[in-house]
Amino acid sequence: MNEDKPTVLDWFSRRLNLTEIFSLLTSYGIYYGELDSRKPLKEALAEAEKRPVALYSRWPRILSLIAVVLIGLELLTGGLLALYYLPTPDSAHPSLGTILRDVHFGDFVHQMHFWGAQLLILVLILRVIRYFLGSVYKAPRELIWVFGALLLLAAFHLDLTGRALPMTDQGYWSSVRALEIVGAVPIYGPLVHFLVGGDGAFITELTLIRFYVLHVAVLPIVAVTLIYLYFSTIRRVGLGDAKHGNEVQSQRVLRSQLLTMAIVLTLVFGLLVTLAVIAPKPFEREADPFATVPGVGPPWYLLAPFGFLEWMPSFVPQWIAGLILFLAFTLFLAVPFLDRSTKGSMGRWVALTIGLLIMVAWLVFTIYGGRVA
Amino acid sequence: MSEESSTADLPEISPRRRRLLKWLTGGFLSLWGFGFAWVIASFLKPLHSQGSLAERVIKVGPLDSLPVGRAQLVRRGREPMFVIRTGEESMVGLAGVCTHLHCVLQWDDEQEQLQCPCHEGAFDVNGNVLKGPAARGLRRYRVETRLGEIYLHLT
Repeated sequence: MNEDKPTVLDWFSRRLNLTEIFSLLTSYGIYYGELDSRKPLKEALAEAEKRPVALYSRWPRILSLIAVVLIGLELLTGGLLALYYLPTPDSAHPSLGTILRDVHFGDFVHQMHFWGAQLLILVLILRVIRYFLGSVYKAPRELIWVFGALLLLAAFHLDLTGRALPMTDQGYWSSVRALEIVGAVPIYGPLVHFLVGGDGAFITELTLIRFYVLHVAVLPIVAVTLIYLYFSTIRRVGLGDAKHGNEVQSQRVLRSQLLTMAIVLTLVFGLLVTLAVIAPKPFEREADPFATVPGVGPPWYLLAPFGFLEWMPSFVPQWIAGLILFLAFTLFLAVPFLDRSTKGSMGRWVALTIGLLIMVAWLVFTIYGGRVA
Repeated sequence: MSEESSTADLPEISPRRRRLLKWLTGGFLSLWGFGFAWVIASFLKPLHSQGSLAERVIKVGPLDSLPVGRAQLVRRGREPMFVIRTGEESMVGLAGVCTHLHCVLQWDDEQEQLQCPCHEGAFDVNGNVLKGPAARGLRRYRVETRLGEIYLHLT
């Protein structure tokens, strides 16, 4: 760059704290170093490039980038769908019909939104598993686990509220099933029922509008905030599993990260298009609250708790089963504070064994739940 | 970011090949971005429903309920229209919005004209401007009677 000739960037740099704005953007996976926001952008970047930074284009760290890209896609497609969707019980289903039939690329955008959500949940589950196996939750990285787990929960809730919105018979009854599961959990269940304004037996117009507000406003803000907090933690403490020369003295981090984002976006997009073509989500019939559709289970990621509740013998009160679920959920969030074992110690093996047992139990209950649903 | 520092830790690539790769990446990404923009722009395009037959015909009501010389307001969504019974067998369908500004007209039984409440405009039963600032007449619609029911055709 020629020092004498002021560029557009310089013009703005004199009037805006570009470093701060850029620093905010980097919290969504573009760059992982800390930036000195008191310095002009060019200087701060030049300084940051001298520090070693982990390459996030490598497996398994790429999962976070994929999650960011997917959340971006969900926000974009969701924003588009919101232009045509009408959140009342009478007009919700017809408005989805309008999107799918009349709006140009409406079906495509809807499929991308649906499959993007499923893929996002899968990626977030994989991410939590990989944190566990890589023990990316030992001090001072407890918060990485907590934010990862909370983001997964936010994604569950986003998908749950989203499923109810079109008022299709599968979506409607699947949300009712999900609300039943949630309702079995003490404390949390009544709270959710209070928030969505119903006890789960019925989805009225008031429930629907609450689902809608949660889905389009509250939960996306929560998810985006959690991603921000996650990358903020990363910038402070790192992921701590840099080995095999993954951490490099990279002098072109920014460009390579942007390129990685573009490649990830392309691949994820390709995968989503493939899924949308070979396994499109069908446009189901409108829900009739007075005709329960047989054989509709909860969404795939809730099959395990559903299977567990079904598997419990009937003499056990439901709140006890719910309490077990609640404790499991609390323990899941508190993993970094429970397992303080060091690498290679006996405690680490115990923790790994327990974790693997829980994963196997989850799988078994998922299969069981899928059968009884 | 200067060119020197960005190539420092890369393996040797000839400038020609580097330029080609850059060009290919740029071309691919722009093509992709264009497709993206195209999909979004098409999605945003407002809907103009062609409408099915059922949507193009409005059932107004029984003929007996509309005496000669009276008009009935018909609502099609948010769009008002008038069906005026001009004679025993003749009826006229007219748009119910003034062509000047978007004021909804009112039927005056005595003078047998549609009057605009905003700027004292008036239209006769055929939709012609009688007075007021409106420059164009009202759009006319075909009206039909079948089995004692009035139907308004929108096309």
